[in-house]
Amino acid sequence: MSATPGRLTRRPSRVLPAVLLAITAIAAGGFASWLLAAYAVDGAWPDPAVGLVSEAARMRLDAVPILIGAAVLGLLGIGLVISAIVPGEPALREILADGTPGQTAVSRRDVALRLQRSVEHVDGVQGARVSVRRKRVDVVVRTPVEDTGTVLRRSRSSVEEGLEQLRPVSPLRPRVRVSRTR
Amino acid sequence: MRTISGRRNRAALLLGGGLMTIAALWVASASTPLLDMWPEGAPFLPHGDSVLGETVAANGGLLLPAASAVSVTVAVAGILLLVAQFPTAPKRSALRITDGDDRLLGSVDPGVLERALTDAMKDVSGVTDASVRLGGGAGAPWLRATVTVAQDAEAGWVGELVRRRLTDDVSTVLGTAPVRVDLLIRLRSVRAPHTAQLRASDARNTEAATA
Repeated sequence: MSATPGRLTRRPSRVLPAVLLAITAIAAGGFASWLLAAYAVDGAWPDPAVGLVSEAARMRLDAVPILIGAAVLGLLGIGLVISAIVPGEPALREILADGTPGQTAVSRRDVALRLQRSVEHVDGVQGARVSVRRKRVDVVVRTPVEDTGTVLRRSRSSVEEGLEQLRPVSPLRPRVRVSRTR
Repeated sequence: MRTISGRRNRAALLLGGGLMTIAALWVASASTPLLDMWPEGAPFLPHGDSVLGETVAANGGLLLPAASAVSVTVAVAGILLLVAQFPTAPKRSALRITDGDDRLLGSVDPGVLERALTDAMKDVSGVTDASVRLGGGAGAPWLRATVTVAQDAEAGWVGELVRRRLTDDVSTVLGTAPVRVDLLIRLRSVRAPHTAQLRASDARNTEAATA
């Protein structure tokens, strides 16, 4: 029996901070392992690191380089902890809830692109920028047409129609603005 | 659909980041008057006037094997964490079909069923591409599907139809309704044309009207 997969609409996986932590661990652990293995085998520090080790051995614990190192390590550590705690916005939005168990989802990027393309098909629209937020869809429409009211009305109805098709589970309120280009 | 475990990453980040912060605070406390304020902490806290080389020499016998073990563990943990960043597909197993008395009638490779379901989904109007993953055994199957929906198709209608068909098809084949059907819809969007375009059907209508 295999495990049931998790929900589709999950919080971000924090891949970038995890990769940063993994690379830091490999670099620090690998360097220390190499130093200590060479010391254990030959009884002396390896040639390329002799200067560094002897300089570090002469350092007091309250020396400025040690403090700077501790500050860098502490900042990195706090940054990683914050990236683990801050929940982040899921990349997928749940849509079309029905009686069937499970979820239907669509990526926020796809929703934004679909709405942007549908607005770009409206007469008088030169371009559009769409961003999908937690409870709102922000649409900025660029038009060279003087009668911006009509463009705004048509663009808004196009966005509303697009959202109506997808039926997001947590409703998205469209906010459409028109900027006139010259 | 392949995913990366967010829970594992968060746990690793909390552990790694927390240890880094504690180590940094411990080292930095040597430059603070903490030891004067709390003399009982002398055995655990670093002394600002101590020199690294002397400290290491004083505890040489114990420090070297401990440091070696810690550094190897850290490097291996880093490699494992890096490997875990490759997305993996949910695990699946062969589907065992049994009769009423739990006697094995036969096994089905889930890949075969997945291919059949994928082909069936591609036949749905408006779907341009599809992939299906089936797991959980024959008793409690789950499905995870991804379909790409064309620009001119109504995504909501296509999504509902695909889920219904997946549920029906699996129920027919395995005799059990899936416990979970997850569907990821990819919306294909095409840029608005800058020049006039004529569809084949419009062209035929125009020709018929002019004839």
